[in-house]
Amino acid sequence: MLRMLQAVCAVSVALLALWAPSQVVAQKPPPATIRMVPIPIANYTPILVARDKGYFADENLTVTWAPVAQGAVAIEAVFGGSAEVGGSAVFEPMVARGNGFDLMYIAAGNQIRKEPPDNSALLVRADDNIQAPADLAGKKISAGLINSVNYVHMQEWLQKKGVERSKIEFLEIPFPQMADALFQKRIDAVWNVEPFVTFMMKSGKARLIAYPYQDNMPGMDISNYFAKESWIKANPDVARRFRRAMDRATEFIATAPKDERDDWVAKFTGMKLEVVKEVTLPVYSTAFNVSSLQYHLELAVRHKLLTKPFDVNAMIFKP
Amino acid sequence: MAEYLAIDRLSKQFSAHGRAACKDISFAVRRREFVALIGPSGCGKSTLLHIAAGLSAPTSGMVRLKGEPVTEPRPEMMYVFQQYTKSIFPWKTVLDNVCLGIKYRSRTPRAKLEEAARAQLKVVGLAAYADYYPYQLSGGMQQRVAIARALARRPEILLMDEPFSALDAMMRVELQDLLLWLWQDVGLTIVFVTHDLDEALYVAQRVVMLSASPGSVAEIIDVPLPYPRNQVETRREPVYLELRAHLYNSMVQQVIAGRAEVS
Amino acid sequence: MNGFVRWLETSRGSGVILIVLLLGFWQFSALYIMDTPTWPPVTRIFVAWYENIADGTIIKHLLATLWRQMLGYGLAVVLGISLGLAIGYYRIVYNLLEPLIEVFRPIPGPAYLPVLVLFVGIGHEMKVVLILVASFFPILLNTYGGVRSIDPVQFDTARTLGLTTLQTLREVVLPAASPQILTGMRISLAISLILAILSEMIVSNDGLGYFTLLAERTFKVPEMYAGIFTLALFGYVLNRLFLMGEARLIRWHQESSGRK
Repeated sequence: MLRMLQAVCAVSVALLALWAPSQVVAQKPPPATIRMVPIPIANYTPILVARDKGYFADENLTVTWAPVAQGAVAIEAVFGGSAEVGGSAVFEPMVARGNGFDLMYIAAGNQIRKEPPDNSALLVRADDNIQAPADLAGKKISAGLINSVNYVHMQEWLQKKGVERSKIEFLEIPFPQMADALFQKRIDAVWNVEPFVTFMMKSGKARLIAYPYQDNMPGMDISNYFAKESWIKANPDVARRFRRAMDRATEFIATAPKDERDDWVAKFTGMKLEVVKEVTLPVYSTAFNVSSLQYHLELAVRHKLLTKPFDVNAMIFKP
Repeated sequence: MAEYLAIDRLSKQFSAHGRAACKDISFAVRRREFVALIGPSGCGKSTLLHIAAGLSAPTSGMVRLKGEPVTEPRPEMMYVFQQYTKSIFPWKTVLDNVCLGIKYRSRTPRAKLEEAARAQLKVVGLAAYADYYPYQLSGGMQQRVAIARALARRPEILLMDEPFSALDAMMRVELQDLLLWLWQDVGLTIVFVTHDLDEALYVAQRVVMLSASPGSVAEIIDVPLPYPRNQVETRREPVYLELRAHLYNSMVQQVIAGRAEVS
Repeated sequence: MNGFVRWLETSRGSGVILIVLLLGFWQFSALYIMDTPTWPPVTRIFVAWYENIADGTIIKHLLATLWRQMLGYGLAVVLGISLGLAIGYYRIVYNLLEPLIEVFRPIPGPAYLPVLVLFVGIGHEMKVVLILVASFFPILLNTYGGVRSIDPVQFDTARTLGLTTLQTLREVVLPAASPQILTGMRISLAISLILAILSEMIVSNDGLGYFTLLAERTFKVPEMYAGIFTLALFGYVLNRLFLMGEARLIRWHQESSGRK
């Protein structure tokens, strides 16, 4: 009897010994490193949140990031292999994919607010007599880089408001320099982004005439996180963990009280807190607005950035 | 006019080296005379000629042409350089080179200029080469172009700085005879610098020999040989041979004296 | 083997054949070895190129680049040669300007871009000025060098021929210095194209540099290569034309110095 009990105990202990370590291992996934290339704007604040509140650590992910100036640069970095995840407006990765670059959206990011104000706006000089969109005919406008998301939406907006494209002269002026260009009369209207919109309005020399994104489609996805499809397919577990951590951070920022949110934004972007308090931030969302993505795609085809559409759903990572 | 070209106590010191090139040189050239200027190397004969042409200034003394001091190149004077490849402009045809001397002098139409130029080329025997470029010609021909160009300006006096030194022997004698013929035909006054004794004796009526550096006039001899001269006959004349021996010895003396002074 | 080596030595066409072979390798590798959108097959690039030619896009941009390049370059030639002649000829001008030139000479053309953007703006004028400033120095320095290396015998000859300063400049100085001046002009031709393209990539709405950059930004990779190819062709044609003109002007120099 005693011998049988001992045998059972020995076997149980052996089984336990075999089983327990695997349980312990299953608690913590293998470590992984992710390099990110976001644009250093308020939209990507969740990255900092995910690191500092330990969401990445919880998934055993080490995440580092280096800022880039434009979405196109982020795409090149990810595609070329010097980063795993990039941050960009939704538009550029879409155009890239249509041209043969295998990119996917790995996590949702930001949407345009459904009602004014927005975090970008069309501004003119306060003392100019441009009131309605039709007044823009024959003027010089800048909407960021040509063929960027702003530019294409500007075309769309002008079309919707009945202004002929050929009547407008487009100049490429970087967002920080738009204020000077407008006030020095080198240009007549600018589609600028925060925090410059707030600066320009506070100077008293600028007047706001529209929120073009909201006029086109309120609540549309505007920016998010992308990665190479081949990387996601090769590292599905890491991708899932990244998505989880990112969603937690985005959710946190979306629901945090304004003061706390402003604090995080100031820390991530390096803007002064007093400035952050006044600017309009975009909406932080963990869900994709697929119909808005289809809308973006449609615009890309309509404005000849792509020759034919593809299935947007194939581009969204589903963990 | 007795003194057509007068060199009056001419001295030249190059302040760069502090060395005097020539010192206190005086002699005169008569109208239509052919004078040769010789001396050991470094005696300053080329420097002297350069100053006489008005191309550089003396440190002291002066040069007078027809009584007037020479301070810059005069239209009656023409200079023929030793380095003909540089002096004849390689970017111009032979004809254009010759025309250059007379192009800006008067408002003569192009056709007349070319006519005059071609005439000069004919005189020196290069009529067929008017449209050639200098690099296509031999050294002797190029120097003939220089002479044609000089003559096109109808000068009274020709200053020649070792014009035939860079040519081979056959071309040299050819050009010596051509020069003599031109001298008589045009009625030029010629001052001819050379380092070659034989050449000096062959062409000139008088030979001025300079001493070693700093050069001053060592002696002036007459060359009583008749014209026209002949490369073979004249050089066989006893007078010629005597003068040659004399000049040679004199030259050797100059050289030795020069070397002694330096050491 | 010997026959092949012999052919390589004498054939002018071997270089062209090499280029064709390399293109063939590119085509093959793009189709069968490396399948990535950044390395499209040559045929696809050619199609993109042809489409952009047919609808006039490339021509339009090419003309924009050509116009601003030639304007800047032309001004550089006129200013560079005039100033170079003055510096080479007049000691006073040399003494006054030489230190200034030595200060500006080592500054690379692109470094002027930010300053010019501030002062002249981002338009057409800024690019022309940038091209002018960068193309100016090689011409100036080579003109100056050419004048300085003129043999004194030639100046003396001009004086004995009774030429005035202006006549001497025209008949002697300019032709004598022209081989070196033309060398400077050829260097500047390349520089002017480089800066035209560079300025277009940074601040512009048109031009071949802009076209190429835009294609890259919108991920139209075959178009991007087509833009680069057009640039190469354009630069090649410009250089050839220049060499032809140069040969005409200084045939006397090339033939006499044995370089044809």
